[in-house]
Amino acid sequence: MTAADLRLLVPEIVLIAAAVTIYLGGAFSTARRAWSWIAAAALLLAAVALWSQNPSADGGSLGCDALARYVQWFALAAGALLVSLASRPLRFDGTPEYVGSLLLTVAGLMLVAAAEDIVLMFVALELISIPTYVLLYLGRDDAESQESAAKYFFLGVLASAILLYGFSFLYGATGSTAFSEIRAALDGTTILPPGFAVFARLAMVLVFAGLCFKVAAVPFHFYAPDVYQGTTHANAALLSVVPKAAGFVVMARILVAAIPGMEPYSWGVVLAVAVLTMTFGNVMALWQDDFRRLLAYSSIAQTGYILLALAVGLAARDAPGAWNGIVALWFYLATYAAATIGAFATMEYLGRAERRLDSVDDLAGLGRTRPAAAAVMAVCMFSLAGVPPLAGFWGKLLVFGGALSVDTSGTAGWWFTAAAVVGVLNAAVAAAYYLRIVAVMYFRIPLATPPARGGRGAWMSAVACALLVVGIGIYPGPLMRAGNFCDQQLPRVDAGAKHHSPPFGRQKNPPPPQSAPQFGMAATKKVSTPNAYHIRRTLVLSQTRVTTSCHIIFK
Amino acid sequence: MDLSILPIIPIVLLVACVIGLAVGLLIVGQVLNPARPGAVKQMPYESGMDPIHDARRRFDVRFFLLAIAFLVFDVELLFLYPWAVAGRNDECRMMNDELPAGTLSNLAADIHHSSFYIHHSPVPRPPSPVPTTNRHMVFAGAMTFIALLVLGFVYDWRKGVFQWR
Repeated sequence: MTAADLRLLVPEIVLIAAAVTIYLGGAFSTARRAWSWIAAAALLLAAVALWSQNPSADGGSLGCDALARYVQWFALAAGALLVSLASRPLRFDGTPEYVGSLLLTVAGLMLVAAAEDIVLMFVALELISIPTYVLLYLGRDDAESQESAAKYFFLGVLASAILLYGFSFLYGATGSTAFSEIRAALDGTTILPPGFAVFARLAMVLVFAGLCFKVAAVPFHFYAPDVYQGTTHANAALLSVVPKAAGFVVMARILVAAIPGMEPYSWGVVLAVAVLTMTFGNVMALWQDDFRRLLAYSSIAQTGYILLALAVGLAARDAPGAWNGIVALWFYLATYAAATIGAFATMEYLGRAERRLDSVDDLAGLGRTRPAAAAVMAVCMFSLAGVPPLAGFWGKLLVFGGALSVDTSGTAGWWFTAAAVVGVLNAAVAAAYYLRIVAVMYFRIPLATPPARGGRGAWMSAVACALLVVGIGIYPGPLMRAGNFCDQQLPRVDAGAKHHSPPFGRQKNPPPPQSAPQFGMAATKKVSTPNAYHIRRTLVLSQTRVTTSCHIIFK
Repeated sequence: MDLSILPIIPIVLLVACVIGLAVGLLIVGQVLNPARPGAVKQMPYESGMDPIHDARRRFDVRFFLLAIAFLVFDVELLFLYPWAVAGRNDECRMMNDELPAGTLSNLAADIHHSSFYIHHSPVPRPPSPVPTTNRHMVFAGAMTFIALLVLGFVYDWRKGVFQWR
């Protein structure tokens, strides 16, 4: 720990200090409403600290590349939405503990984003997991909630163990816990003792398996429906965003960046899991009547799409003319998070303290009884289904476009084309249940008017999410550019003369950008986002290819 | 004097201290305590639990809170040992500054290099001309850690963990 590290940690320190203050304050004071305001102030302060940081500072086991920045801003935004969503005090003791734990998970996600060292990364992941267990216990005080918390706890501990086992193999293969050194040991310039390469492959599989729990991918998804159903809307929103984002960051850092040369194996694994996950999630979601259970399966399915983007990133990150899977991953994650938090926030707003809205049928006729809430919910559902003017459409376009642009001269291309076909069919299946909710809201006779006593915070959060979804849908450029920066600063498979990618490794080269990108400001470097020409070309290309693949499949 | 036994001296001292403490506490107890024996006090574990019973007996949940509180301070102690060693160790502090890639990995790499692994491109260790003054950081780190634990203690106290209700 050096002074530079400490400066990089200021936003996280602010959040953790606020969380400790809230915990302690809750032990001394009986206030119930003040804690959310303190948490909001802390998030604002952390954002100011993050904004004013000098990004070129070089911290030892902490990184500050564009990916870290992107996920840190993502964490702060998601944290603000969640704090607002959960701003109504609990009906029993524990409000300060709840708010404090929420802040800790946000700090954990920010730390995961910045970690450049296996050990630090694991500690950061636990900083997300452990407060999450507490949150699940605090949300409700009935038997269902206890059951879901216990399930999540035990499976979470198991997943952490698998992940740690994978880390140990990675360390055994390379002799270091720093990502830069792991990469240096595996990039082919060092001759590994015989058998050590197998360790790295084993590590890849174990780490991916451990993370599949965090992102709720098949076959590690079993907890999700039960846990979502057994907890509150706020907790379900947290579970569907924060651990997932953390899992994808670690996947990007380790599978894409830290273990080079493993792509021929890893893309196959990731692709298989992706296809299984999206199919399973979507098919199961068709049967659900409980709203949170439905969105749990929906979040599993969305994980499948994001994993497809990751597989594209692994298989064809640098192929010329290919759409970049890593960009798609970060873009999709953000759009998914906004729509999901929005949906849960609307549900929270529509209920009241004594009566949560649990079932889809509770939404019947909402278009007439609560038109504003129905509109927000409809926007979120349309975005999750991928209907064009909204953010979710661009996410799906990037993911499927990426899968279709993988070069078909090898076997990989055909696999990806097939996966894209499965994905598009899946999106059609998914539309069935997303649009069912819209249909229930607008075409059914209202059973009862929902009380809509969930609090102003939840409503603000829902409206903010809907605006985000619409805003990103109309103007997706900045978010895509931000995703592009993330991709550019992640180390490449072959960081040679072929690409103008920034070099990796702190020892050998100075960190590349002195003026690291601030999102939303003028970019100093020209980056290539998919432009109209690209999109048209890929659409034409994909049409022909989808037709041929459909022919192949149906023969 | 033969200097070859010098490295063993701390261990001998430790063993002597342990034996001395154990025996000393027993003696002090024997000498100072009022002799009022009772059936409960004669039991091996003087904590209100009958030590011989069915394994599936129910266990007072209040012990659980005590166990957690104990664990907090036990783990604290565990962390302070490596801190105390590392904080006074010049090599460790230098490594911390000179090598760019994080303390944990350096420590790990050290162990790895020295044991079994033949690294073909070892990380160059630049000789350190100036002993660094990272001592404050090391000290402040541990103090922050202890302060956080104290806050946890205050929280426990306010929440009534230490009341046997």
